[in-house]
Amino acid sequence: MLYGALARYTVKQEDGLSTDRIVINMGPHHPSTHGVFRAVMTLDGETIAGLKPVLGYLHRNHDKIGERNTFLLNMPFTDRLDYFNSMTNNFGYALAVEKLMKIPVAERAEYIRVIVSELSRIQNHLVFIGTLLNDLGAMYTPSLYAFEERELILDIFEAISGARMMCNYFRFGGVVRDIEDAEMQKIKDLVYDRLQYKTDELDRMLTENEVLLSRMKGVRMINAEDAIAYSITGPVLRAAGVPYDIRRADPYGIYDRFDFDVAVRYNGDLMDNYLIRIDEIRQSLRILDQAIKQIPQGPINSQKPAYQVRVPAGEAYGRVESPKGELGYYVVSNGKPNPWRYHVRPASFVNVTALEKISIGAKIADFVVLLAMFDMVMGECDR
Amino acid sequence: MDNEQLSLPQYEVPEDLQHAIAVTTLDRLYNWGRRSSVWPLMFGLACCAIEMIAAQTARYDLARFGMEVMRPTPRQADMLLVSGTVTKKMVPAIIRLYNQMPEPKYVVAMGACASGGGPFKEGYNVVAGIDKFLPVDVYIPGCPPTPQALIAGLIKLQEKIDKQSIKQVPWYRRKTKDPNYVPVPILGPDLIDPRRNAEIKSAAAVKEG
Amino acid sequence: MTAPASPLTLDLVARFPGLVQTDTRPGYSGFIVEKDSLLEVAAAVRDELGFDLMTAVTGVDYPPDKMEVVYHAYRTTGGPGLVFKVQVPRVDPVEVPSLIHLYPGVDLQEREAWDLLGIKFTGHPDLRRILMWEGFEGHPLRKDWKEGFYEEDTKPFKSRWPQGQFYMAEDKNPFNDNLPSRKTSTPKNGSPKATRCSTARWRVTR
Repeated sequence: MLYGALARYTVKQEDGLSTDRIVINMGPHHPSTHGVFRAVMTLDGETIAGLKPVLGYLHRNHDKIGERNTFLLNMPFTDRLDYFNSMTNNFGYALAVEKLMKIPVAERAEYIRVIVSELSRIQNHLVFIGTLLNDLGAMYTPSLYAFEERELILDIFEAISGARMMCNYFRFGGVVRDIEDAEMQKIKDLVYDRLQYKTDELDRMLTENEVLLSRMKGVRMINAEDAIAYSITGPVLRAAGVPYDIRRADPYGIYDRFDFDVAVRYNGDLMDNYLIRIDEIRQSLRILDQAIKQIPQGPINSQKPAYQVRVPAGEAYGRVESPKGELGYYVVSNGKPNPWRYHVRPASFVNVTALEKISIGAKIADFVVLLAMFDMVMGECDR
Repeated sequence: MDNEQLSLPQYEVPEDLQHAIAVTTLDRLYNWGRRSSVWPLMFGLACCAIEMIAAQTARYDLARFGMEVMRPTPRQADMLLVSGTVTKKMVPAIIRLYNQMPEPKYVVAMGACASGGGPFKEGYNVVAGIDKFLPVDVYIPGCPPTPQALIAGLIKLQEKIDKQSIKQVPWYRRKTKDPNYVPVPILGPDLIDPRRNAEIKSAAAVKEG
Repeated sequence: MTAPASPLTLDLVARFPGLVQTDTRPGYSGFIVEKDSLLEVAAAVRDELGFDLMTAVTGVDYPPDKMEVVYHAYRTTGGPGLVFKVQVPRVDPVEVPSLIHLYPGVDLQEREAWDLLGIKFTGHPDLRRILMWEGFEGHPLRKDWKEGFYEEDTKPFKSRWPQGQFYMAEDKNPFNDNLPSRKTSTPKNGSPKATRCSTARWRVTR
């Protein structure tokens, strides 16, 4: 049935000759680091005439397992959705369940949540830049620069929560462990003394590069009306010119107290998609600066630690601005200790909807960069 | 790697010649060459792939062990490092990759998901461990295993390679044509393993009456 | 933010009398729309009310009698969102009109609802399974679909061996407890090699 959905194989041209198109498979195993994503392309020479994405190679039954788990037991599973930013995933789920439970969040915990989310955003964008340049062919050197900074941020996560990647740090009502003074000092050193200069260094090295400019500047990705119609969210939408950022449009937590700009670029081409991530790193550093200066002392959780939480019946949709887009959690509860329906609205999955429309007419070499720009993580896309 | 380790311990080579002469067996020489340059297949399924990449970066360097060359094509790779959850939809692709790898090949199951299903073991699309289909040499626990744990596991693989002997390795046997071929499973109403065809047929016959 | 502002409540219910009502279940919010007028209401939501970003389309299974499709829509100018639902009876096949011509972004999400829950969206040009493979039997996220190794509905699972699972190490040993003074002086499997490795003389007795 997949092959029935592909574009027409044999095409009759105007002068009566008919040409065949080639169907190739950019299969689930390929040299880029975007995970197991398969794209079945119909090619006309080297231009793409049709594209069908095939997903599900990492479908790990998150929804069904989530219905069996208790509410708190779902928290480590949300870590593994978008495995680059486990903190942001936890945040979204904690928001949804706190809406259902109607409990307040401790003040210091709110600030800690913001600090950790923004650090997570910075390291995700650094990895994005690294893997983008891997895809462009710069064999691993810029990605080593980017991963160096990421390792320092992961050291902080390990000191705070115990694990480098799958942190399982958020609880309903706050976070699980406080940030000690020594760790706060490390965060301050990193933000003030290192990250801004390293971002500038990466910017200086890469943005004016001739190869990047010729491959990415002017290659049109998507325009604003199409992006809204195709439900694209996140940096891809903002690079197309629509200044929609959930932290500013529909603030959650305490984001309305911080002074930051929504990063927006108006050309909608690949170069803008790359530049907007650097803009977002700088805005995140701004938020981090304010959060570090304003964080109060106090308890870190408004509830006592409990293994089974009491959640009244109802539904809630909690969403966060993850570095890839809008990550939403739709939780329906019927009073029992486990959810009745638990659905994750992933950013990557919904962004892939536009992939076919964007890539028709592009060349294969452009397609690789285009796919990298979506910043897809298959753990989130397939759940 | 120094020549001293290559030499057998019972032979004494004079000090000034130790960098030039080694007295060793063919097995040790053969295994030393193979274990010092295992080329992994660049194969990352899920979260463990990120720790695999992090193990290759400059902080936890895998190049010290000769594993920096990650080949995307299975025809040039030595080791299949299964990192991440193995799902039923992906299993035919993994097995085709394994069949395309030339001997000598090793399989390392990295992480809890590849070793035994991990946190997703009860999923309807999840295979509880890659060892249901492929012969695994080393299991590395962790979710995800830190790069230090991954390197410890790979050193274990190197020790395992050291113990193999040319006299018994399967790729030099005379009779077997393709010693490690695994038949590719079929995606039917559920994943069907062709090695269990007889069992499935008899169970279906029993069920039908 | 799921609760829409109150002027909207009056707007949508007043605009489509009889076709839209508010969701009055405790803890729930939003509107319930009749299935046949879904396209009209969605067009009004997009064009008149200005909710142009349809972010989430989900299916929910409420056995034994109904299934629901939940839509979340937001404005790109900011602000809280709009939730509306369609309730359909749980017959086989469940049919809901597709919103793909109004909001092209619901394409993959509707395919996922078909794949996992079995909700068929009429008007969708390419309704195939997306996360599972073609030929898979069943719609896994339904409440009555159980996998082959199903144990229990909710965690924590009870133990599979409520009396405990223990064995005495002597039962696995062919010599039982290795004392030659007992009656079983010959090993259970009777192999000649086994009689040589008796450990009886190192046993201390009181």
